[in-house]
Amino acid sequence: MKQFLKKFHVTKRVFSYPYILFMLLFVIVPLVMIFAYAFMDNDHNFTFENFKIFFTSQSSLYVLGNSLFVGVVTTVICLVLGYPVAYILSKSKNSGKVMVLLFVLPMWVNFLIRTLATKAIFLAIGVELGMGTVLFGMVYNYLPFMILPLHTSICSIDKSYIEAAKDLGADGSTVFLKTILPLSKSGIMSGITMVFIPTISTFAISQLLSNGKIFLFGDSIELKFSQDMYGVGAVMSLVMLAFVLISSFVMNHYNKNSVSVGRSLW
Amino acid sequence: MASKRFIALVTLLVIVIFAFSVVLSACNNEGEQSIVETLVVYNWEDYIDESEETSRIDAFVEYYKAVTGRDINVVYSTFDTNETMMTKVLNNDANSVDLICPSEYAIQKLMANGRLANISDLVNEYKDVVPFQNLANGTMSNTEATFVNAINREFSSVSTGDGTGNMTDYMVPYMMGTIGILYNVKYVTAEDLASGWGMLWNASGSELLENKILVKDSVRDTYAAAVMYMREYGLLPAGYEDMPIADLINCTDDAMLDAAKNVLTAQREHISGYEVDFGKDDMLNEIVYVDLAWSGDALWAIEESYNEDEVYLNPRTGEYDNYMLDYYVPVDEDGNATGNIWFDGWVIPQNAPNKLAALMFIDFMNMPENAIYNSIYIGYTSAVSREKMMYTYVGTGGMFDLVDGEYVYSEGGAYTINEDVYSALVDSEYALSPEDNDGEYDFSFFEDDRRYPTETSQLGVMRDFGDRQKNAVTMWENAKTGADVPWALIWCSVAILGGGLIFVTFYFVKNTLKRKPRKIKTEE
Repeated sequence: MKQFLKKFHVTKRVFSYPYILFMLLFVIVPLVMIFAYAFMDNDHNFTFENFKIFFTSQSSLYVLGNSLFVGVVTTVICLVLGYPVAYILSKSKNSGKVMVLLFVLPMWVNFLIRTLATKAIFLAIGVELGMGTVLFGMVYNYLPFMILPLHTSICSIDKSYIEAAKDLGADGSTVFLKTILPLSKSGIMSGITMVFIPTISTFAISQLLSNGKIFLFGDSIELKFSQDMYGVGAVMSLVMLAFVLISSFVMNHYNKNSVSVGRSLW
Repeated sequence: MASKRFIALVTLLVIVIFAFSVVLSACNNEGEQSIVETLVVYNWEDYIDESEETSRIDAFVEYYKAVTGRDINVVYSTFDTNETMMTKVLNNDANSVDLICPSEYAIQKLMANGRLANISDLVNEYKDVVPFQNLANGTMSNTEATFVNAINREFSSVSTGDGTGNMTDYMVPYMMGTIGILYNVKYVTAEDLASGWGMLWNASGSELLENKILVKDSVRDTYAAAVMYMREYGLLPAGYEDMPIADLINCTDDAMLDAAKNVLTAQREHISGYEVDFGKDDMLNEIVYVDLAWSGDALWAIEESYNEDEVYLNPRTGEYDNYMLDYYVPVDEDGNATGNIWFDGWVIPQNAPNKLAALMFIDFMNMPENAIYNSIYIGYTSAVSREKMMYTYVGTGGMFDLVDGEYVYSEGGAYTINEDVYSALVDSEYALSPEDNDGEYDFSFFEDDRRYPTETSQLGVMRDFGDRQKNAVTMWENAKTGADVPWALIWCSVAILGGGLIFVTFYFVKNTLKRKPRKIKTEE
């Protein structure tokens, strides 16, 4: 009894147990299951058939290409729109915080509701649903994820670097290109990852804003699981996972080598 | 220190024990009040009359009490697709369920997995315990005859895991319906209607309908529509032209799937998109004008489209009425409707805890006076025979007896209108009461061929695709992604993939190169 009591320590470590349990149940176990399903047929026998079905089907590769296309275009548009916004926000001293709040505000509304509302607007003004509307919906939904990391990293740039550049005779554009842009690289990288990864795996936005005519990788995975093709669905999830890993690898690499303070929101 | 911990532990134990005892006693109390039986029903959403006044579940509870003298608690749970339900049942996550209402192909699949109890045997077992109104005369005794024939044609010999059985022994039909075209009479002309299933391809080339068509986002339904379209327009692969419809829609070999892929890909260019459940709303809001729909949904939408202030010319009937929407199952050259007829039936899982109550529930829902309430409430067509719904027989020797799949008139009974059913129709404004209608009974509800397809209809029941399901899904995905190979997209993705890989390898190579000199340094 005494020995047992001695073991009953309430240390800091105890408080991490719920989280570890949560991770184990909802992250590790599902990952293992996806991995197992990828190598199983419907009768739970070992097979490579699922990989063959996915990699030999022309449509699934096309769907993947389509998703990557949407992902790249969305990311580029978000970056082009988001960088100037983040830059201006970080320059304005007092109103900046309120403005940032205004940009984050839409994130508090559920994305499904936002998307349905977007669809209703498009239908009301008579815009034909298709690739254009899907891209709009993606940019609309993921723009805050680009602005926030950019804003944080631009804000964290030491002002003396900019002053030094000016002292040494650099004009406005040179200061931006040679000082601010390189120093906000970590923000750009994390912004790109924050936008690119979710876009290639979305399925609801594309389904709603194109009436299912634009068929993305996420839609395809969803179809596989709803049609009892768990094996192929699992293989596709693994492919998705590979993309996530590559992207986070790239991001980590940049964050490590970055000269800036390395403070990033995400 | 140790004593402090000891106290803490004891307090914790006391609290836990106290909490447990409260919970346990609460459970016991519930049990003591009365020994309540439960019946767990697992059904589609909105698939039974749950209205406050005429709830069929409440009515069953009363009926059960009247017959057996016991109280029963009906636990009603729902599913949204057959696949969700099957996953649950096959993974043993639904072992407490007594009664399920799947579609025909799901019943076939559950049977093949040996999950279903033989209802005919169960009825024989319990027949002397409780009086059954219709099950005692066979599981199909109340079912529409033409429909029983269709079931027998496809499912008379279905695998049950360890043998074969007739599906009619394992299920009792509940609701049935067709797939067809829901259209807006304002924009669809008689010429469009004449294009039959081609209307979903805008075969008549109407400018109004281009990109204003929705089809179901479901492999089975769109496949059936594609097969019908190919049959109409001579696009079937060679050698398949003379196959009867019932065989044609169950044929999923490579030649057929390939042909279907081509027509469905072509369809993509003419339609607004693929809908899951918003089709009815989009039709009512006039966002689209044509929709591939199930008959029950369509009839519901038609009711909703009633507009007192406006009169529309219906191109199908050539008459004016107040309904903006109409439903149509395309006909072949002989004027017979062509397409798919489907049904959902009650089945009892092998390990159901309360089989007797399940049987009584089926029996109860199959009585004409209950079937009519369910049918009116949910909009689908009850599988209970129309004759049984309209007429009731008194005396011995039923008016209509099922002999070899046909209802035969037999002497001995007297023929009367089923007043219960008729008053249900009057209450929901499907008919006028005889007093207001010159003493006549108006059964036009049962004569509507949108609800009850005519007997000469060429409608086929679809079986489970089985092993071909994967191929069908792949075909469907191909069709949905479109025909043109977008090389730009492919190169774009190849470039991204390649770039990512090159970067990763470059990084590793750089790291290994970097590491070597460092090692030498530490050694020094």
